[in-house]
Amino acid sequence: MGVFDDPRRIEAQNLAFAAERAEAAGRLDEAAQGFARAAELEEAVACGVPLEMRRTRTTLAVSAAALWVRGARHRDAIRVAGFFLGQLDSLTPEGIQELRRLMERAWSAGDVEAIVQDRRDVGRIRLKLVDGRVRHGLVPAGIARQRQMLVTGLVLRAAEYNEGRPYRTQGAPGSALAHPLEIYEGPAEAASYGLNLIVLPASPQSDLWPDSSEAGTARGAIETFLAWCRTASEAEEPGAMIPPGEADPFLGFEAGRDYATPVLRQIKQLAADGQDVGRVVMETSVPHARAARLALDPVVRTRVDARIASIADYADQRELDVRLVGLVFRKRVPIVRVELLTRAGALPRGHRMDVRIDQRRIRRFDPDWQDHLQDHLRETARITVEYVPGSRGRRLPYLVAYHGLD
Amino acid sequence: MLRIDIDRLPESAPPSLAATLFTAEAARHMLALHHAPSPPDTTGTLRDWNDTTVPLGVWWTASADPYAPQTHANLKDAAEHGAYGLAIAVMRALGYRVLGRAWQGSGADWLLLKEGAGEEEHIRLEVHGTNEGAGLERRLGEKADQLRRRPGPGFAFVVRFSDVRVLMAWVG
Repeated sequence: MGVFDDPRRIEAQNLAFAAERAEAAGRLDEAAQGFARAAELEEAVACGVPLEMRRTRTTLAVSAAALWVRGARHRDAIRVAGFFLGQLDSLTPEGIQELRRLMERAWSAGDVEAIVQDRRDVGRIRLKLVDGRVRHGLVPAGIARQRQMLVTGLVLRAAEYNEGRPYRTQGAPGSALAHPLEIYEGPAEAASYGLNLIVLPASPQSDLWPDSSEAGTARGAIETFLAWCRTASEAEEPGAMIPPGEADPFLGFEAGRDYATPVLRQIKQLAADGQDVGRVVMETSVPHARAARLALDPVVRTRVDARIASIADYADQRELDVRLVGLVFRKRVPIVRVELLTRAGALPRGHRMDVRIDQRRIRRFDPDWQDHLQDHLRETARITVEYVPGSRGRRLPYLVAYHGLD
Repeated sequence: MLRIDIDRLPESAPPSLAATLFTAEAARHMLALHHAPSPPDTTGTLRDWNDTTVPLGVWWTASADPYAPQTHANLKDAAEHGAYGLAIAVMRALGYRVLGRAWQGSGADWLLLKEGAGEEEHIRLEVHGTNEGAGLERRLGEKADQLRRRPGPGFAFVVRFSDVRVLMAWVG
């Protein structure tokens, strides 16, 4: 039996492939554990290769160190690389270079782990740039720097948005105290070209409430950032402002709509252009949540243009006198069904319509909105409706406020 | 004609069962986008490293796993993983043992061994798969360049699933 037929190596391959499958499905913790167990077995096989079999020993040593890195076990990667580098004559010259490179990467990654250790409110964003002028591990510096600054800027904007701050029209956030997040650039990971950002709150105070159901500053910012990107990228057709059935992520609070145009413009720049960058794949992960993956292909740029053009209609509000006919909670976006008591534009008196409820926004208006609407069914009210462009050119009414329900 | 059987990929190790199951599932998913399951063989072409083109027959059946479409929803990744499955089957048919995955840093995707050769003679296999479209020759050149940047000989292997066209190159 040869080294490559060693049952431990077969098992290592099984584990590593299962880990790759888990990684593809977004189960990152499970993937890391699988890679680490595979690394342990690969290392054991590599150590048993006779010193004179330099090529085989090099191949397995590099493989073991790389698997430890993928399993986020950086100390073990450094240890195994160091062990084999201590026997230089048993490695090929190119293998020595590769092990040194893996060791340096593990050191950098280990430093990152030291920063985030014991911090619960921490998230990661990985941006993979593929094709175009991007090569394996190589990218024109300007392209990488621009994407890094765009993601950093958008995540900071998302944190400010979540805090209810109005959109800053110029400059960076004021003082260090006003800066809600710290963003580190971690060591690049595998793949064509990877940017690896680690996001955590500037103040560790948000870690004091780890069991809170509310997302922390960093986690919340990443979730909002992702919602923005998804809104920009997943339209059914150009002109659609919101994917059907989704609440608009820009309607979180009154000044939220000020964010829409500049944020969408930045997402457009972040997306692949088809020439310099053929494809942009973004992965985000926050503790205790499923990792999310999103492709920002060149078509996103076209969609964003259409969305920005449709934003002129964005803040069209109207007051309507209605009778509350029903509440529908089955859908992802709850709906209040109303009957018009007066003519409203082209809609005649008596017309029945469904008005969507943006839960985040209406909760700010009335925390007990569900009870109030339920208790006053069949009664009349004056409601404020905001029309938001939807798919297929439709304008979707959203309930913003109501009056006359005591 | 060179015949390969995707359904029998998992029958012999190495590579591991998990690797062959995963890559075979991805290959089935990609083939199903353009072709009907066997019988008969899905036919394509293979141009080897001597510029000789031969017909390629691929036997495969539809995946029974209801989660396969979800797992392979990302077409770019699925084409890459499906190409692994096709490459493993082709290299076996050409008399090479697939030793297993070459992990990051080696400049290749898989390790191969010619039947009867010693383990120190192992070579590399760099694979690329695409769903459809032009640029297959360019891709082959890029993969060969990638192999040249790292030590040791190896094969570059690219496949386009829409017409099951396979191109190979040898980097000595």
